[in-house]
Amino acid sequence: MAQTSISQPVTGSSATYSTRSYLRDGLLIVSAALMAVTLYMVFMWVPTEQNLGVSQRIFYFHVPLGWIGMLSIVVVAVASLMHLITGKEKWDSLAYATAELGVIFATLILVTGAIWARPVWGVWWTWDAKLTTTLVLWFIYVGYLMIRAYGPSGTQGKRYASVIALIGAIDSPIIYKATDWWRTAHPERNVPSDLASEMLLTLLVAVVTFTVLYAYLLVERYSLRKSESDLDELHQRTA
Amino acid sequence: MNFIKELRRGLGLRASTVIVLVALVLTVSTLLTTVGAFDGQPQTAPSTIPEPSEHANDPEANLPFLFAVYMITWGAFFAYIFYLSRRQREMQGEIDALKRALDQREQAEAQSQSES
Amino acid sequence: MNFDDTETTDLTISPLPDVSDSDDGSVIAHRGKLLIALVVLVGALGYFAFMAFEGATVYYYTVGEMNDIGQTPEGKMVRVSGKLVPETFLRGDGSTLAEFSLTDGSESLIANHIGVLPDLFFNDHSEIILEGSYGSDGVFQSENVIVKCPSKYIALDEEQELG
Repeated sequence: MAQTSISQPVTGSSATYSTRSYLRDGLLIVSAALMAVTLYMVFMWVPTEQNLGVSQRIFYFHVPLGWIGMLSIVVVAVASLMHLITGKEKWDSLAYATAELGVIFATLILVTGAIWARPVWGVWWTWDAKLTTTLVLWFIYVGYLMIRAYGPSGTQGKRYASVIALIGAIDSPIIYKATDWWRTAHPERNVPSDLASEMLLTLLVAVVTFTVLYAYLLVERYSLRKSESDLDELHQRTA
Repeated sequence: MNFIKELRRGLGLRASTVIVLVALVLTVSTLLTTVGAFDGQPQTAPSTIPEPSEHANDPEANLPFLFAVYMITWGAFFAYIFYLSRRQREMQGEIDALKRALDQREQAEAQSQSES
Repeated sequence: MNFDDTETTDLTISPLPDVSDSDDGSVIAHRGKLLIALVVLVGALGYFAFMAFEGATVYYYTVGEMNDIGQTPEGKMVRVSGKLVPETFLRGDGSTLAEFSLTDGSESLIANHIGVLPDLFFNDHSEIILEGSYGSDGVFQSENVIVKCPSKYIALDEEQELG
């Protein structure tokens, strides 16, 4: 039986998962600080909107969640492609981690949207272009993860998953432009054109905050995923 | 589903019960406040023109919905962070087991070499 | 310690989820889940394509367009959008039926709705979307009301200063 002498320590290339990771700690602290600022601005500082009342403050969660949901699938698509081109495992880990996060953000935008719609629009849901395309994006995220979990293992499964991610990457700008291209129940502009300056500032801070939070969660999940991949490889070598 | 099985196995019954209970409390309280926002809505609208219902001028009328959004968003992120830490723990366990197995094998090989 | 003289070390560790193959062992359950996933995905994409290419891309018609189109065919639902003409709103005492007019600035249309109307329905800035059918009697029977918010947010204080 071949001797598999492990010359590297078991942790090997998952050294990025060392507890002394300044990037991860830094991101966590920054996102926590930003979140504190955002919460203060959203709940204490920004004025109440005249027509929608306090429910309008959902805007400061709903919009950032949406933008990140749209961004995430593009990252998945690019990372999947990079993996197929270079064959490097780290791209695959990035794709998978981003897809997992993407499901969360996509779910949240649909749920927060529905909760906001009920008192304001009068309905929980409607099949307009924006909501439909966002729902499609949700299905794409879920489909991607299911194929990774239950589809053929190895490169073939990853290829199928990449195709789905690519469809998602096409869907993403469609969601963004949906209110421009079609008549929808959403206001025409994704961010209202006429916006009190405090509201705009709060929105920007919220977007930055959620992006940093996303980056933090992504780095955590990515490192974890890479380590899991390494471990799996070790399993196979020592079996 | 596999995930639930893994969760049970990884955490033990007590911790899983606690988590399910917490999730349940969050969900139920959110649902109750959201649905509760509809109490007091008139079944028939007043007849004069154009009289909005008494809620219309109250900017805080839809506060329960804002609360629900906030709860769900945070709930989702904390659930995900919890999921990450669980996987981390599992992985650490695997690494330890692997290390032990490798040590065993190396010792076995060293032994068989010294014997030959 | 007791070591077997076997060639492979007995690693009694279960594989991690997702990274390795499914540990179920049942190929049929495996395939079944994949099939469901694919069906769901294809279904979703199919709906999207259907939405994009059928006339359903028109989420709503304006009042003018609705008047041009005229009566809605039996069993079909359409949406019309316009602004409420406040003076035209009528609801009988204790009645669930409301009658009102919508306008797009130049033309107008009469509509009926049964049931509660959302608060923002009566707001000056809102655009109303009605889901229903345009009857032969020239009245739009509305089943659902969706209030479309204006594309601007105004702080409460400002309005009080103006008003």
